[in-house]
Parts: sequence; C-alpha cells; structure tokens
Amino acid sequence: MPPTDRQSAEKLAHPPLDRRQWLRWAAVAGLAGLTGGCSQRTPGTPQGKEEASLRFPEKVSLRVINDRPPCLETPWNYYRHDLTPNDAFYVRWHLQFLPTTVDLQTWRLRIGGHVERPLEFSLADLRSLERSSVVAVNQCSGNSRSFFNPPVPGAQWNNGAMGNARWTGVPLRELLKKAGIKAGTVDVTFAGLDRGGFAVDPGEPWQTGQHKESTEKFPNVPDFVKSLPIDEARRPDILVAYEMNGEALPVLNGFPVRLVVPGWYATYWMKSLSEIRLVPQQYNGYWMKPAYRIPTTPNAIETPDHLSASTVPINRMNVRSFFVTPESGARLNAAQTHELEGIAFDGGDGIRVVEISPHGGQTWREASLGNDLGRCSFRRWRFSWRPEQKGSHQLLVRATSNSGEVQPLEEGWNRSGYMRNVVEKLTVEVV
Amino acid sequence: VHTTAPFRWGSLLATLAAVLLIVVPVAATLRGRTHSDPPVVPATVHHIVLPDGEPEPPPGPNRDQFTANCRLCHSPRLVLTQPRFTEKKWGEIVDKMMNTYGAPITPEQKPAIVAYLNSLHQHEQ
Repeated sequence: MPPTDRQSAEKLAHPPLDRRQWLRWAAVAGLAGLTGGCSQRTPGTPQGKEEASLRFPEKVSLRVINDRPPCLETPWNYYRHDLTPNDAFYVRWHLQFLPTTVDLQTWRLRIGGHVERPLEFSLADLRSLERSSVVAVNQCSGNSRSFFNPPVPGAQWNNGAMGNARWTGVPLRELLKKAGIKAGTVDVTFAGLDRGGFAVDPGEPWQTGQHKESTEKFPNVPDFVKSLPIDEARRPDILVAYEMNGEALPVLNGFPVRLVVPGWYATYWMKSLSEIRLVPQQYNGYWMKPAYRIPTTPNAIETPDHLSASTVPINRMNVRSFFVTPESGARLNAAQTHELEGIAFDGGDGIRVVEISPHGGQTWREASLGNDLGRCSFRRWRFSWRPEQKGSHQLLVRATSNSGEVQPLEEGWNRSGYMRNVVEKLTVEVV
Repeated sequence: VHTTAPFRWGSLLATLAAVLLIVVPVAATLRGRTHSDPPVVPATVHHIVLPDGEPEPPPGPNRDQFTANCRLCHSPRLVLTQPRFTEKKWGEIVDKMMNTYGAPITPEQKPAIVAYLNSLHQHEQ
C-alpha cells in the first residue's frame, strides 16, 4: 500500500467521522494491519430499509443504481417534459471522492499545456464573457445496459440515464482562442474535481497536467480525464456551461461548470470541469484507452464469440426514440382514440421522421413532431391511435435522423453495453 | 486619578461592547464548526452532504474479505445491482479490479472473493 494512501487514511481518522468516512478508514486501516477486518465494526442495517429515504442533495427520489459513487436514474415520467428538470436529471460519477464542497473564492478553470498563454478563469470571469445557449441531450454511453443479452458488467441502467436541458455558458472555442492554440495541437484533455482511490486528502490541489494513471507496476484508480480531438473541440456549439435550465448546475451534475458536447455521449461532458489541457499528441489516458471504446463495426455491434479486434473511443450518439405515454402494460379502451407520446433524438442531425407500427412492424405510420428545440434536443412526437380489436397489442416506434440514420429492428450487442438503439416496443392491453 | 474615572468607565464600556460584538459571534461560529450542525460557511462555498445508504453485504462465504477490499472504492450496491454472471465472469471482473483499479486483493484471496460474489444471486431467489 502506498504511503500517500496511508497518510490520507490517518488524516481521515480525525474525529468527527461520519459513517461513510469511518467505513473507508476502517477498510484502509484493516489493510494496513491495524484492525482485524471491519465487518463487526459496521453495524448492519437491514437491506431495503434505507431505500425509501435514500435521497441525494438537490434531487428528487431517483432510482439508485449505486450510492457510492452515485449512479442515479431518472424516473420515466419525467420524460413528459421536453426539458428534464434539474432535480430529476440522472447522475453518474465514476470515482468515489466527489467535489461535495466547492469554494468559488478559490475555484478556477485552468487552460494550459500546448497554448500560447496559460490562463485561469474564476466563475465570475466566465460569467462576464459572452454567453451562449444550446438545448442538448446528455446520455450515458451505457444507457439501457441492463437490457443487453448476454448481460455485461457495469452500471445496470434501464433507459433513464439520459436527460435534455438548456445549457448556458461560454463556447469552449472562445476560451481556447484566448489561450492561443499552438500549432501541432492534437487533442484537448478535460479533467474535473473528482478523485479516485481508497482515500484522499480533500485539500489536495490539482497539479496541472499531473493526473494519476494506472500502471502495471502500480495499478490504482486512474483520475477521470477525457479528451476530444482538436478539430472537434473547436466546434462552435461546445460549451463550458455554468447554467442548466436557467439555474446553477446541481453539484451532482457538475457544479460549478461542466463541458457540454452536443450530440456526443455524456462521458465527454466533464463534470466540475477544472482543467483543460492541450497536447501535441494523441491522449491515451485510461478513460480514453482502454475504457469507453467501441468496436469499429457498423453501429458498434459485435458478438461475444467474435469480439472486434479494432476499437475507437466512443463518440457521437446514434438515433433513438421512446414511448413515454402510455406506459407499458397500460389498459386502453377499444374503439377510442388514444394520444401516444414520446421522444426521439440523435447525434446532432435532428429528427426527420418518427414512425409508429401498431402491428409489430408490418406497417408504419408517421407520427407528428412537436416543438423543435434544436438539432441536439429531444424531439417530442405524438400519435393518435384508435385500436378496434381487444387484446394485447405491441406497438413499435422508429426514428430516422435528418442524415437518414434509422433505428435497427434487431438488437445489437457489444462487450461494454454501449449505444443500444434498437426499435423500442410498447405492450398495452386493449379492453 | 479620580478625575479621570468617568472617562475610564466609558472606555471600559466601549471595550466590553467591542468584545461582545466580536468575540461572541466568533465564539458562536467556532462552536458551530466544532459541532458541525449547521455548518457555518461563507456564501461562496457550495456544499452538499451525500446520504449514507449503503446496504450491508448479504451473508455469504468470505464476506469479510469482500468488505475489506471491495468497499474501499464502492458501495456493495454496485455489486448487488449486477445481473447474474458466471463464476468465470466474476473472476474477470475481480481481475479488472485488481489489475486496473488496484484493488489490494492478493492472488490467494481472489478465489474467496469470487466465491462470495458468485453466491450473491442465491439470496435473490
């Protein structure tokens, strides 16, 4: 065990400790041979008892996929809103030490590396710059992972690891321009305030560019750092956002600022962004390679027996659509008109058409599209349906993007449980 | 000496007032900090408190070894919400935790932890 971890563990040992800290300390101390293990030191709480009261700060009751680090899923009824409310917006952290305390007096966003002028910005500095807004879907790469067959390890999301919000902030491009992009820049890396490992000194400041990686000699939880190719980073719609739906971001969604990369999976939307670094070579940190990779095959599909030999970093979202109302299993009266409703989105081309098949895919009929909030937003669809026959009905919904990308009828699979976008089915009982 | 007495009283009162104005709030702040509820923080500090709702790992073989190692980085819930994997798959997952994330599991401990993980889904039935 590295001495730094032991030192940190000792710092954590100063009272008062909450149970969470105590658990960590006890576990680390146990490793260091100070205690004989910790199961008898952590009084049991009956499983399930805490479920009802497990509410996270600034959040309504969300489906708890994990509590440390928090992975919280948005309940389905919230997709009745075009913009997902901040307090219902899903949460996904990789590392257990979150920035639960942020002091804006000292917080700075730093831009450095391969630039003409390293710069730092306070939140007030960022707010004083010309602001820009975009409505965009933020979707976890592994949204819907729990439906993969055969199952794959990872956070077992249903479909609720996504949300749509109006993001406001400063275009990343403007900040890069101020710092001066040096010739030969290849990638732009992004790091936040969260930290991994067994224990951490909360006062430990970031050393710019000094990120912890996992090595064969010293495997450990690597810091969460992501990168974009410079040409992508220069896109005008990528924001360093300090507002979400007109308010400060909830801490669990990345206060004080997060990166917004419209059309791309949420893994790039660095929460509690604190460091931007330009590099003159491809960045291959753990969370870019080998993590968050997809097969180079069409729609990232492979099979367990034939895993793709070549992979690339996950990037743009594929096209999806969902039923929102009614919910699966609903009982609908025969010979009456019912308003079906749902959402569709893609990786930034916008939705051309949404079609409904009331008869299991044999025929398709066009749904009407709702307000256009932008090409990266949820697009609401509505469909009036009048079932005549009683019994169980299966309806399908299929979206096509403006670039002609269409959802597949057959479900795909890959080893990481990413990019599911098979046509969704809804079963209702007509009575 | 006596002629200056009224002036001294005034000075003493002023000093007392100053002491009350400064020391009492500071003391209150300090007391608030040591007892930590509610915490006194400047307006520039944004602070949240995460709930403590970790489920206890269900009984099973080698549960102590699971607790001592796996809980260093994540809640048991992450494990309890996983689907049913084969023993081989659990072995691959533990390998990743050891070799990539640095879980301090010794090669001797690994089979014990895999056995615990493999036993979990029996509780569901």
